[in-house]
Amino acid sequence: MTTIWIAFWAACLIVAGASFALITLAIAFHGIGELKELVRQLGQETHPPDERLASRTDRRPPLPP
Amino acid sequence: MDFTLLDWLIVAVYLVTCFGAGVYCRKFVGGVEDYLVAGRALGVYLGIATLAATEIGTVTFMYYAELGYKAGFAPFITALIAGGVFLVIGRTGFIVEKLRELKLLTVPEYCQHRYSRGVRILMGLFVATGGILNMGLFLRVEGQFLTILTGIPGEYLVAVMVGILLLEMAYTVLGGMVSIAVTDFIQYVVLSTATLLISLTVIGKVGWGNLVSTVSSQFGPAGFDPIAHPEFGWTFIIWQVLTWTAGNTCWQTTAMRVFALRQPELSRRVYTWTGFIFLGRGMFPILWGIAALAVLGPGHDPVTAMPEFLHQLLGPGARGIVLAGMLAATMSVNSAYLLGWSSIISQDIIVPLRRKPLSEKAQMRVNRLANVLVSLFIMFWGLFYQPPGAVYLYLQITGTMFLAGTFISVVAGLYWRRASTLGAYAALVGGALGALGYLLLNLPANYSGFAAFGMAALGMLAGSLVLPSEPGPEEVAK
Repeated sequence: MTTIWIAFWAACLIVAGASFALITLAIAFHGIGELKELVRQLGQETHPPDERLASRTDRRPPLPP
Repeated sequence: MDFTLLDWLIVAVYLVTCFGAGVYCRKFVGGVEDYLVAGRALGVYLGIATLAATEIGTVTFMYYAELGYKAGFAPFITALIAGGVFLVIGRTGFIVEKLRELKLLTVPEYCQHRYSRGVRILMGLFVATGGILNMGLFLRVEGQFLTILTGIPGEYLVAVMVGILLLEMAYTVLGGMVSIAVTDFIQYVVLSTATLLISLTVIGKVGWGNLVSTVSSQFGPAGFDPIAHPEFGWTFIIWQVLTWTAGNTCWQTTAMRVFALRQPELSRRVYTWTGFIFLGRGMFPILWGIAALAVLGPGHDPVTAMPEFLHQLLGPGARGIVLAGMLAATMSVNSAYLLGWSSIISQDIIVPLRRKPLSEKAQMRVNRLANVLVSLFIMFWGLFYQPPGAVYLYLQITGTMFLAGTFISVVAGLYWRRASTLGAYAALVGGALGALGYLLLNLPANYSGFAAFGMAALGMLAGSLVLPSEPGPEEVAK
């Protein structure tokens, strides 16, 4: 029984290591683009802060009283 | 102090980059929605990075390594459950997709939509209390890691804790979620590199065979089999499945990442990929704990054995990368948690309690003040509180204190038409009482955690049957 557990945990570690490395690479590669897009999107709003807030009041549904 | 100039240079480059990016991003914060959920502008990759970075901290490495040192391979089951639950939620969109559709800022806010303002405030109180207690041990454990790894004398622990706190407060208070999302990206890449570097070094230098034989000689078959291990078993496994399902859907810092996504559908992809990261998030540090046992032997403090082992294992350069990675992990978690729990205090307790609505500027001021107060509390709690058992169990129980009731209320609210306000109150109180059994009555953690979910579910069922919800306007019209 112990041998089966050892083999199972070894397989899990291999899956964890490989996927961790691949996802990290994907994030490092594609995340930069998303980061630029986020900064561009938030930076586009060049109005003064109060006007920006007023223009956003329609974003969320109103809460019931 | 064993750090070389190269090590300090690596750490300095990381800190300047991260801190600079965090402070720079404060100019993009226009209102509460920017401050708390980054204007709901995150894509998949940034979503995965910020979700993973938020939930991978130095404290995570420390408590998992403690489990590995104390119980061998058997605690791998906790990582398997965490990752598996993320995958299932990712494939089904269970809870998270619906919550994102509602454009919420916090989880308790949902309860005002579905139940009443009172349920929101009570849930806010429970979530803030449990969440802040949960975070209370972070600073001390992180400070211990950093002092041991760098060789800074132990008497400077408090100074290290203050330094960590000031560093992350500086940009969290100013830039909120926008700063956090940007810095999380940098931090995720750095901490993942460090995690992989340590794991490969451990396997290469200590050896898989050595790890297996150490666990076999120290714990026997129970060191590999989580069902046979006396501290785990089926009750622990079921409790963990429940806690991770609740945590991955209703934990404020996790839910905020879902709320910050561009579209509700993205939550499925983010969760699916994060599931694989969570497998490694748990398994790697448990492995480091086992390696510490193999190299240092038994008899060490299980919490500090892993950093002591890493201090011996890593050479110049590698130490700098690992310290930068651990600082990244520390800052990403603490900044996100500071923002998460302070947002609950401001949005779900203070704002609903006031008769006159607060302006957005005033809400942000309250958020920032709550941020500072939470920071001060965790500083003192970390210095003076000693948990009754393993750090992992303390964190799980303080989480369960509010998660059980919150999760049952949210699930019933979303998927059961008869769920009522009384049921939600009963679920919140029942969940908190069940979890307190561990902290106040010294009940075993798995029984206490299990009881919390059972009592919350029973409370919801009984409360909803005794006093069902009044039909909403849509049902009356039908």
